[in-house]
Amino acid sequence: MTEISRRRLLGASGIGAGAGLAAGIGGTYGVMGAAARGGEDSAGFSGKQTVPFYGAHQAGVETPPQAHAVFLAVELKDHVDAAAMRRWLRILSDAAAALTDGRAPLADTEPEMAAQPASLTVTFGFGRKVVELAGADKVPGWLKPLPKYPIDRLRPELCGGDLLMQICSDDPLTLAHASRMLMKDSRAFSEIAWSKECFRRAYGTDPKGTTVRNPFGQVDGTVNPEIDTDDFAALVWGDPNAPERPGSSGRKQVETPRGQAPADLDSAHPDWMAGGTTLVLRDIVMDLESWDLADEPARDFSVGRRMKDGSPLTGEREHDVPDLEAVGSDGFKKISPASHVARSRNGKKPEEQIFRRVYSYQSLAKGPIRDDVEGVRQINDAGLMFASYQADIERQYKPIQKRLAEGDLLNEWTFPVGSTVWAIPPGASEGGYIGETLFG
Amino acid sequence: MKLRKTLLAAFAGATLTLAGCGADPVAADVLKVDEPWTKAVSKDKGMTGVFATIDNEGKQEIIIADAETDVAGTVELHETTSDGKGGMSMKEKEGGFVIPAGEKLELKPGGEHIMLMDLKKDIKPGDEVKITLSTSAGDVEITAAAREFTGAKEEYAPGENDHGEHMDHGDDESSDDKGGDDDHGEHGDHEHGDGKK
Repeated sequence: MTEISRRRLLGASGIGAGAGLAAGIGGTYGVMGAAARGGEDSAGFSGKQTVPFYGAHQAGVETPPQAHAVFLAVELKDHVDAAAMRRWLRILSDAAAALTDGRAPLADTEPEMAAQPASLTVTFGFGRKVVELAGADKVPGWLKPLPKYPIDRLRPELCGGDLLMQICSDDPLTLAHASRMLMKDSRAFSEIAWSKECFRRAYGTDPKGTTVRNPFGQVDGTVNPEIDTDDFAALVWGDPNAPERPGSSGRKQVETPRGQAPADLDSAHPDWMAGGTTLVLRDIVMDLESWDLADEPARDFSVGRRMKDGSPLTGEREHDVPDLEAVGSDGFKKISPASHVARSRNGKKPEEQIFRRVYSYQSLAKGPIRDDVEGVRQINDAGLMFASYQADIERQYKPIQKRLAEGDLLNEWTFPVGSTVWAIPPGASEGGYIGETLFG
Repeated sequence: MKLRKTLLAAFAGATLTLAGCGADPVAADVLKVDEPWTKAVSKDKGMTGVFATIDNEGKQEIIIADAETDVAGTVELHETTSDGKGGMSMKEKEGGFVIPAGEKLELKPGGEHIMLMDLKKDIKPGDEVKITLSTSAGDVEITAAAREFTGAKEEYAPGENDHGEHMDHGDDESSDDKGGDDDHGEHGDHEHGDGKK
């Protein structure tokens, strides 16, 4: 673009700014882009945005995924009993409530860093040992490690932990401070088991709701229950009439191509979990070095969708429903029955759906020389923190995982190294704390 | 405590003056105490600090002269003095904490604070410590939640961390992990039956 035409465009944006904003996303983004080049992008500030901590459900599940996340798992110290657990959960809940509201929690040594929550959420998950402190009879049968799958290359140090914190924010500095603070408040009761920093797109890069790409470049997560719908409520909270999130304008009734989810998916929740859900968290390595061997047609074939835009091989747009029966002129199915899309779906069982709230990690690291990859050195440590929320692990998660583990062309380039299962207790009301339904 | 006697003597005059103005302000009504907390320590550390923001919303100056709590044998009101090189030490505040009408007193690590000494029990993270402030306008009850905190040492100078510890003030909540379950004030000796809140 020449300088003159650009200046003319900027002028036009300026004059039409009101109209552009009114016209919707396209116009808004045009104006913001121009403003960013010319000076301060005040329209894009997100630091003061908050997601309420208190509510029927914990925040951070039915919450549009923020740009950055830390998953932090801690192991209880030996002395922690139910009374200590109660004190700790109160401390954590008070700290999380303050931090997510943009206030410094008690004893914060850097209170200034709490001022920009940028949609910070803190979501707590309980492992078996935490629940046992409240009584062995409180532990649901499914709260245990997943069965071993043939694809697993699990590392024990990534599979432990008794309490999980999923800490998410649109700002990485805020997240660093919040994580540090929550861990300082946990130090007397626990040790770090493992933690992982990960990301999606930065705030403002794409309109909210855009499906994110994973480190393979794959548009990942196209078919996901939509928040603020009865479908989401049934699949994640186990009850289509579950309370809506604060600030929501009500649950939309939707019909999805997968069919209506059963209304009883919370039937395996003990009483203390009313308003809660379950989380399966898989740390899945994505082997970028071997992925580089696969050209675009092989990638599209393996996924069953086009890398370019996420559209199914039987459709044109990302959200077109894949036709798993369609046969091409060569006599083969257009979407391979072994592809990721085909293996993930079970059109006859609407309960076999999960809500993925997935983050990527990717960093450069000097790895070994890879004989299997033309002798090049591995330079990436990349993967997904595959966070799968569903009301019922047995009925929703395991059938999908089993199919994918038994045959999914993507398995050639991906393998799980971490795997944990968590009970996500319900939210708390002001003055209460997360875990109150267990520890009273 | 010597300070208390001195202050009480001083208040005798003040009270007379106030009485002349009609209705005395009641501290519990006009002092707004925000975010009171205390540093969690084990009993054998001997002492700890209490912090809060105290807002005098009344129309008269209020003096916090003294404080009391069941968990400590002695309570002092402290101020921090600087050595000009980033180091500081703490001493008893002459005359107590004076909060002019409409102003705010910030009790914080490295600044003025309430010092609990001769601790009678462990103060564990999450414990709630009740403290009574004696003021020129009556008593005020506050409940300070305990948090693990490694700052707020009685004496501190940058670079002298290793030397400052294990001195007679014994207030070192240091983060050196002596292996096993060294848990900084959360000591393995289980609850003392005060768990529920």
